[in-house]
Amino acid sequence: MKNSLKLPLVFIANLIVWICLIAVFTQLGSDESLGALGSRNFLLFFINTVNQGLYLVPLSVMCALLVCLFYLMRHKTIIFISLPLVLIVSSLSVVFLVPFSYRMLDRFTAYQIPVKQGMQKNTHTPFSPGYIRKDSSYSRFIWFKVSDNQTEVSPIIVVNSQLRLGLPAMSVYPSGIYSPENESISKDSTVLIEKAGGKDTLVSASMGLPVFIKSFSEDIGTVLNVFRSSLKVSFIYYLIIYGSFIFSVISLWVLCFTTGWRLLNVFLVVSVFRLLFLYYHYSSGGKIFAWIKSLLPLSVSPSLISPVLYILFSVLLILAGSAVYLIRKLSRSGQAAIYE
Amino acid sequence: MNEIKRVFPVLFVHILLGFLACIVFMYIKPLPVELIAPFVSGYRFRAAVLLFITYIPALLISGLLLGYALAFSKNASDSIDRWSEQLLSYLKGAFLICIISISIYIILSEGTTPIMQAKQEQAVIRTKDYADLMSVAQDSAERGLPNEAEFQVSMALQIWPKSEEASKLLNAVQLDLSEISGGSLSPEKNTSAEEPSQALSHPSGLTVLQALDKALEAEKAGDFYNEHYFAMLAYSMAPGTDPNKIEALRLAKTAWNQITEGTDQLKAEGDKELYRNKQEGYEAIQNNDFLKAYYIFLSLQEEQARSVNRLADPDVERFLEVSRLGVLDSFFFIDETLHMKLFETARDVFFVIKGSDGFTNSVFIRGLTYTRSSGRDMAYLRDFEYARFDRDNKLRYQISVPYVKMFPYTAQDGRTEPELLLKSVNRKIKGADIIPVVIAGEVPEMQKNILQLDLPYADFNLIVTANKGPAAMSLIDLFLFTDKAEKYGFSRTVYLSELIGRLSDPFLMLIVSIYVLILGWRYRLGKNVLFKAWWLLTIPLFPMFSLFLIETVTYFSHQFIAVFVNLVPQNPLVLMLGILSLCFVVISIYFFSQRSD
Repeated sequence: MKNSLKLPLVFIANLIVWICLIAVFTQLGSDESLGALGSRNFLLFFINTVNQGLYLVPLSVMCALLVCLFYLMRHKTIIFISLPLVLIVSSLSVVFLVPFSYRMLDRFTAYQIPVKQGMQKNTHTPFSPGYIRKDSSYSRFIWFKVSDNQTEVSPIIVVNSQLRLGLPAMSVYPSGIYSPENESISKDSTVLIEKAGGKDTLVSASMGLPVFIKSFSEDIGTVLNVFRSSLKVSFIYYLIIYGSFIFSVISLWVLCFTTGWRLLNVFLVVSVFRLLFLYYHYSSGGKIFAWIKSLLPLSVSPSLISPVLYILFSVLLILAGSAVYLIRKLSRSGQAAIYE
Repeated sequence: MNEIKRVFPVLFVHILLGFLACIVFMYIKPLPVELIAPFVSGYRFRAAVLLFITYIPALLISGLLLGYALAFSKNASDSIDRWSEQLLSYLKGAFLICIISISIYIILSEGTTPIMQAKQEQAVIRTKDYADLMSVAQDSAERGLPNEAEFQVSMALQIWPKSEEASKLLNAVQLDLSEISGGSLSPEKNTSAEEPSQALSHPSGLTVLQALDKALEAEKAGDFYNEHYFAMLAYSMAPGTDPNKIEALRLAKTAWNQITEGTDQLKAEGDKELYRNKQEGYEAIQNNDFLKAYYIFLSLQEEQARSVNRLADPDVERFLEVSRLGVLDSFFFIDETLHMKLFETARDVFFVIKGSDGFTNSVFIRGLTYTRSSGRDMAYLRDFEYARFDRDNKLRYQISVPYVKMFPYTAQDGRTEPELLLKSVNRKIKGADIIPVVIAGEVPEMQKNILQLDLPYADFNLIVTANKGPAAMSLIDLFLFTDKAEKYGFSRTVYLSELIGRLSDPFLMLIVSIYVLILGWRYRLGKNVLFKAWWLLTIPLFPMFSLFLIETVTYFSHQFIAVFVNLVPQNPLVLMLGILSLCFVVISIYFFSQRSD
């Protein structure tokens, strides 16, 4: 009973932790915020972090829900209390919390614009002098001085290691003009360096996202954008889109009882959670989507295909889980019936 | 620590299967680069080893997670309180396994990886060289230049001795050559880069007394050139107060009188001419014009070789060698560089030197070959380009040289700097020299033949390695280079971040290992739960999850490092290691605070 009633607290505590963690860590992966920290512009970092935290509330809700599912797996609870509690906190999040965070996000953007404009002024300058940088896989360059008005660099040394047949690879130019629009450096209308300013290639070269995280974050980004844009269409449409996704996450509870080994169950839940984001690509476009669309009458909006497929997935998972539970119940009794 | 006995086999199987999987994957996967046959197998194997080393942290984490989750099942139904002795014992065991595994990983990643990566690069470069050489050889053969084609194809065969294509082309060009030379296959082998004669040793190894003794010996033997040479050597070596200096001068004077008298006594016109030439060459040596002396003695040697009796004059042989060694102090022979491209260890090296005099120099080297001769380090720099800028950043001059020879030169103040010989001379033909091409500006007279780079010689190797990127540098190189990076046009921030990242990685692995220990404890297998056979199918999820975990943690730790390097540029390493130590303590305490459900 005590464990069951603790569930909302577990959810709220985890929600706060996830919002903070995801917001701070995603900002550490952002060049703009990293640059802001490096130049001690803590205000911009803070504003970006809050902005990101608000934007990522839907994801944080899902992560907090997953922790609740693991909590249910690890602790003895009264299922008729704990499960409705999970459904209630999820519903409240979908109906109130996420729309509220989006409204706050819209308001907050207004504060963000002037600070960002100030920052942009600094980023539209040529790279700092005295460092060898890559322009392409075979071309490197360096200059020693930038003029006070940030429009001219001098002298420029460009090394093109692809040049052969005895031609000198190193070219020296007394000066070059920096163009903030296309971030290039040219001399007498000839572009000498394609990327000579803005986001520094020296830093970004060593800051690449690992493949695993990159693909996951791209999928998350797509889904989060859909959630936000759906609310702009209508509240009902948002409820269908985000609600169906949350329902799929809750249905992963069934996987918590797949085997008698909890660690394996956790991995299964996390893996399927990852696949839910990938699933969106196939449920909202591609061959399967086109095929389903061709079967539907014209009066049905194609935008409903994806939420219906998510609900279908959840229902099938719950049915499969119930069937397995019944089979186990027939052969065993008590706690052993829940597990394999 | 009984659980170690259960964890170790799981970990070992993980590592073994991981290695096998890497081997299989790399042998199945299409090659990412073009390679010629002799390099393919080695390249695939090394790629597999490198991949395996990359995945060791994930395999270690996965092995610990699986191993401990199974090992803890023994105590699944026991009642264990927080801060119990048993948990402390688990923690000790886990530390032991982690420290051993992490040590092996560090040895592999810091010791083996750079060597293997260098070999992988070499395989790609050699393949490209082979293709270039074959293309040039083919072209030369088609243009009716069989000598050139033979040289190129021979070089190609050094890279791939069993190449059918190259062997076929070599046979074809040799046939062409035999037709040109009238039927017999050219016996003339490439005599380039002739080994210097070891018959005569360099006299600089002698002491004053030894040189005097040699001069006296030569006097007794009537060898007045040698007498004069050694006497002058003793004279130049002896300090001002040394009485031997006067004796050396006396001997040199006597010998010189004998030499000049000798010319008058000679009756035959040929002998007179030879004597005059020898004297002229000798005088050139005394005036330190070794290049002039070299060609004089070379022509005398060739003359003697062409003569009927073919008797070698020991004076000519000796002074040809002395002048050759003298030449090598200021120049080098063009033919020394003929095969150097095949042994290049670095390509496209670019750096600047912000000199102590306020001038800035920029250097580009297309290819670099390290070698060693007579116990001395040296290097050949191909397509060397150099530009010098004054304090106002105005270009003073820019030069380009096809080949440069580099030595460590120790100055009087004890500093050893790279000294570059810019001029190469022909071993056989006088005047056929290769000199720097001036692209812009005017080169000062002093820097036309010899150039000294304003950097410690040891830094040159660091710069060459730094050109391959911070990830390719060893931990020691990074440590030595970081604070010097700015002087050579590299970002200290980038190299410092890499250094801190490399030092942090083992700590991160340790922290993540303790975290998975917590996961293993919390989600351990129940005591009465049997391990089902089908669960084995889900085992690949463990390394995948571990890879995701370790990559995420490493990525964010590197982000933190980037922030610290910018915020606290003076000492970000201490800050980062301090935070990691704190995390380690916290996570260890967290594990220690676990209890049974």
